[in-house]
Amino acid sequence: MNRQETVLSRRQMLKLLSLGAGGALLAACAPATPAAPPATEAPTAPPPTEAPTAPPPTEAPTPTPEPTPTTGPRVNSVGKVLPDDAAPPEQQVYVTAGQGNPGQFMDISAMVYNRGALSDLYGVPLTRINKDFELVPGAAKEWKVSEDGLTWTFTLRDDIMWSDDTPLTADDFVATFRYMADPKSAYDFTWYYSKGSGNIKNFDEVVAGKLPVEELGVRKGANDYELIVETGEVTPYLPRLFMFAMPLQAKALAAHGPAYNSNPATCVSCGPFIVKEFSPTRVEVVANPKAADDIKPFLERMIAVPFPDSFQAYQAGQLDFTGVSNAAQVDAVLNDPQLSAQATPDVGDFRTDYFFFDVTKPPFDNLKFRQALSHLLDRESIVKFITKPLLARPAYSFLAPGFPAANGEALKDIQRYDPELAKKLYAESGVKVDKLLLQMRGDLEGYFGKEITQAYADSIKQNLGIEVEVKSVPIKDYMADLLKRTPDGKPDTTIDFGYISYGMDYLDPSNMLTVMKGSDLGGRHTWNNKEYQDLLAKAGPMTDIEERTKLYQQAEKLMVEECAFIFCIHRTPVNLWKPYIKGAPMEPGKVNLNRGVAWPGVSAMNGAASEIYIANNVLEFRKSIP
Amino acid sequence: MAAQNPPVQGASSVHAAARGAIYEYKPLSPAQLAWRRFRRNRLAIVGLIIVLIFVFAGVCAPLVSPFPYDRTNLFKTWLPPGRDPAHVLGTDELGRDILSRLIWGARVSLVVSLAATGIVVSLALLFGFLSGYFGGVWDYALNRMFEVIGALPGLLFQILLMLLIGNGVLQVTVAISILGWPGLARLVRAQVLTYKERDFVSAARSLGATTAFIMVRHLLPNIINPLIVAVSFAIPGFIAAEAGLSFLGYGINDPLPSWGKMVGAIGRYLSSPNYLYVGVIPTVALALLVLGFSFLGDGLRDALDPSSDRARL
Amino acid sequence: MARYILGRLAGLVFVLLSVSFLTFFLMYNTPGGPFDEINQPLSPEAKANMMRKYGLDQPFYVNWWNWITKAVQGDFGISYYYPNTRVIDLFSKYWGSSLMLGFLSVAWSFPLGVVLGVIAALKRNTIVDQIITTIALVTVTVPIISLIFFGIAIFVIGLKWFGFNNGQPLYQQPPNAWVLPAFIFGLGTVGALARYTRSGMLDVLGQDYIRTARAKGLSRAVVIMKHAMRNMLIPLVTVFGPVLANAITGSTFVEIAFAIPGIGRFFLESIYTRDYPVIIFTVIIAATMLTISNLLIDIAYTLIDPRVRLGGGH
Repeated sequence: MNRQETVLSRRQMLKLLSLGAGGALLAACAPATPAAPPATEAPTAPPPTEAPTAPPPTEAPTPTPEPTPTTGPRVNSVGKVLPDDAAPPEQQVYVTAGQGNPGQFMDISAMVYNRGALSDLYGVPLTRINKDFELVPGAAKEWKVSEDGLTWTFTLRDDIMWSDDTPLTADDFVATFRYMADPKSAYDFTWYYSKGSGNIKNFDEVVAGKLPVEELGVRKGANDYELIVETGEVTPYLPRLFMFAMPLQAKALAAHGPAYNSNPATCVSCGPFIVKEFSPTRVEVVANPKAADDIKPFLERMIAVPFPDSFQAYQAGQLDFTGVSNAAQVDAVLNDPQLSAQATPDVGDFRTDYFFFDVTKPPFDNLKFRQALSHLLDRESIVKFITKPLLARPAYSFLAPGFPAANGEALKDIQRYDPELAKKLYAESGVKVDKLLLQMRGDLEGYFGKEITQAYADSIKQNLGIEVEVKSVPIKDYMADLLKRTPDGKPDTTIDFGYISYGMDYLDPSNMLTVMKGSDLGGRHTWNNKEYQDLLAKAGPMTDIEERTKLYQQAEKLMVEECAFIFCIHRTPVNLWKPYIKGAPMEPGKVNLNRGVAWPGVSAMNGAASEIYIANNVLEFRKSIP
Repeated sequence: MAAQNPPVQGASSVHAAARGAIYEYKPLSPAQLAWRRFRRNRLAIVGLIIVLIFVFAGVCAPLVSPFPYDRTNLFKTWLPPGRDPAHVLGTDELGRDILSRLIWGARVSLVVSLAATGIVVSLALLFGFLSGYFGGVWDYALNRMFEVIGALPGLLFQILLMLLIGNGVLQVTVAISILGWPGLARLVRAQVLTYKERDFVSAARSLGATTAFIMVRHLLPNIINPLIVAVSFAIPGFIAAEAGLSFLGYGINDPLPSWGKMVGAIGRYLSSPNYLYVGVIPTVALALLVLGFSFLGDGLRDALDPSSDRARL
Repeated sequence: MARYILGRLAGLVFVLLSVSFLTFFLMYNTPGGPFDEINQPLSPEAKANMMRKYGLDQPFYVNWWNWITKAVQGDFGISYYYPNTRVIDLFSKYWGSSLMLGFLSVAWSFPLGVVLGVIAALKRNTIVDQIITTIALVTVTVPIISLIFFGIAIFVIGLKWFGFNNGQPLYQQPPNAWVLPAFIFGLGTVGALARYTRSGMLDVLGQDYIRTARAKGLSRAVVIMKHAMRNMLIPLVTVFGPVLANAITGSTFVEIAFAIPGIGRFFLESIYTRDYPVIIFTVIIAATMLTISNLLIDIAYTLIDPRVRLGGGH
């Protein structure tokens, strides 16, 4: 999830500085959002989109609550029967340090990039994903789309209650979407639902203040449990997007504003947890007794505290989860059998780190020169010596193995490491430069960016004789520069050679590939390739998955050949999970071949928050609960 | 923020210095005397030698460093000192030669700190004279400026400034010197104030000497010694300030090395003692150079201002 | 004197206005803003909504003036990054650790520095004096990042006597978490204090009235205690000002290296997130501390040498 990037980078910076945080440095930064294919061949990709007319099977919610047994199986304080091997309720506590800072916003529908640890636990999103990234029902038990593909009808469950005993209804979702689009609320994630992505009807117009929020294409249907969503264009992947459609309660939103969950006194939840304590140095949430039975958690509490050295805190038995993202930590893990057993590399958010050029400016407008540079990146050595194979795979294309339409193997040769060819191409290109400035987005330092850029710079110097200065720019400055536009909308960036990354927001090629759509269409890079743009536009609304995949693969191949981007690594962040964290999300899955909760972490969006529990071996490892 | 407040050091050496120079009368030239006194101070000689070594390394960096500072070798990463004869001080996480980076780092440290000193001394002399000699509006305006700059929290402000002007050698120099001059300017002002009341200046004035003449002939010589001393103490401050900013990532761009940056970069590897040497080496160099300048400064003060023996700061 | 101090306090207002103006100028002109998108670009309209919501569509001086008018009423605004928390509440969360660190370091280093300085002065030009002055010089000049690194390398990684802070407020931690940071943070103060005390003491001991007192047959101890020490207070105050200001605003480097959630660390975080209200508040607090301590220096300084006139040369 994108937010990680912020969080990651911000903490990253401090971590990088922290001598003291010593080991930890980066630990807390690794995306706390696991999922897990490995260095080996990727598993079969999940279907890119769901056929709109065929909603996935509904998990039939049991309307009658299970009777609470007085003897026999143990139950926790909210009446959920604990598994046989579960620890007693007082140990059913999950402690986390990752995923942002405590003390920020709690709801993805109120604020995305600045929301903090233990967010996304106070509602049930319209749809969810399971640990294999498959779409499953959330608050909507089923959905259908009209003949023209533009009008979606979501039927909501009627058994989900807010903690103040009012039911979750379509009105709450309507209020949530209106809040997000309202110019006054200045929501930071509007691109997600706007044209080209979610395509919700009138969304952009409402954001721009040209239409009142009432005109938004999200409204109540025939009854309280029917939600109608209209799109401006055919958007077959819309249900997938709605895993982020986490409801805010209409009543609380009106009474207390969007931050009502940031205050225990005003917190209202229909999700697995409810806020008990909230401050910048500690957030504690407890199981929501009013949650529907399948949403009720096994856990009694979840706690987020900022451990600057979370790797160390993890080893000290204070934390249940941490990431690993630097060489020293990898060494520490590999040399320790116990830690190795707890470590799982996963695909995270399928993040790819890549170099890019401003192809409108010389010398980067020269294809041969770009090709020459593309042959100088020794990805195999980078992965072998810098990141270690555990933490990354060499990237020769944008879509990581396991992502729908990924085609890395077939594209491997186009940007292969070949210094001799590079020299030849450089000579043929007619370009003559002495010095280049490579600007790296600062947060990438957290994933070996400093080492990778300097290794690449040296490779360019040794083979082409071009000096490459590497500048690490804090993410805010970097993106401000990269996205700077002249008043008439032309790109106005100083970054003509950069290093940056992107990870998915939803599991569909359209999400990743539209990042490269070009500045003419509002994209981040200046590579405006008509053919590429046409391919994306054509593929987006297609429902024939095979054909759609073919078009996307064609587009990706074009992108790789054009060398506007040089792909470097696909990250496979390594996460450590204590052996006592158990439950369905921790079992190996189809995409997530290893143990560990899949993206986006312990959340209501993948149901993991309701499904994990603490096993009875916890006291062998856990030293204290902060 | 700690070690960067030169006003304190400068201010207190004022009266000590003020007392000296004037009543001394010796047949030997002052410079000869100073050198004789300086020689006797063993620490000062040590300081001088350290500084000279680093200056030599910095000046001749392209000649004496065994490798280019940015030459990576992924097959030879993390070599500890002494393991490979080609890399006496070992290699870092990218297989770069630490000795070479250390030498180039010395160059960066020295260039930045000396340039910053130049800027600071010029500003301090200009504003100190204006304020101390003319007083009135000048003094009022400059005092307000002193107050504002003196009230800016150094490190915090420098970081904000670096964000605005971007990383680079010139930028760091500006950022660390722009707040550094009021201390020295106050020193100059105080000296001017002290001496312009003295009889020999009043006498010169009553004899019709021009302001410029008084400044150059009577005030400057009396200011120069305390100024040299203050500057020799300011240089280590600038070295530390540059290292600190670089440590925090607001210094110069890669791949040009800086000691502060080398220390900062190792932070993330600290969980393993095996990698410690990569940080220890630049830290030791930093401490040595800074101490070298301080010993030198101490010796200079004693040499230039013999009465300061009583008030050896 | 009273008029002078009043005048200087009025000056304080001017200083704070200027400092805040400068800070606003720097913040608002730095590339990157608090609400920059970091992934897919936001539409210009969505961006404009955000800027409008926080008043960032106004020029910096307008925002500066708005801030001033609110600040004098005690309203320092809401953090951008923690959009539901007042800056002042955030600050008080982090200040505790900085204060504790500062207090601890001053508590051990100030008395020790004074004692060392007095000893060095009394044993002038002996080996004791040389040892003390050399140690003082070393602790004063070696950059804090070197001290920190040595401290960590030796005591944390080598001897394993201490651990790193776990990010919780310092006052909730066992001594293991704060002893080393307080030691390292105080080192510079020890050195500075020893040097000042020594020189001040020597100055005083050289004065005629001390010689007179000695000549009158008063014992050395009495002279030192009654006459010398009293006059020593002035130079001590001049050092105490900056030391206190430094201790209160915290040492950014120590906080970062030891992962102590204090003001300095928090400031860097705020810089990174462009949390303008937090940045300006931190700068203003630090500036206030520094100005007051500068004022103390100036007053004490004029007391030492009456030839330097108060308020400049007129």
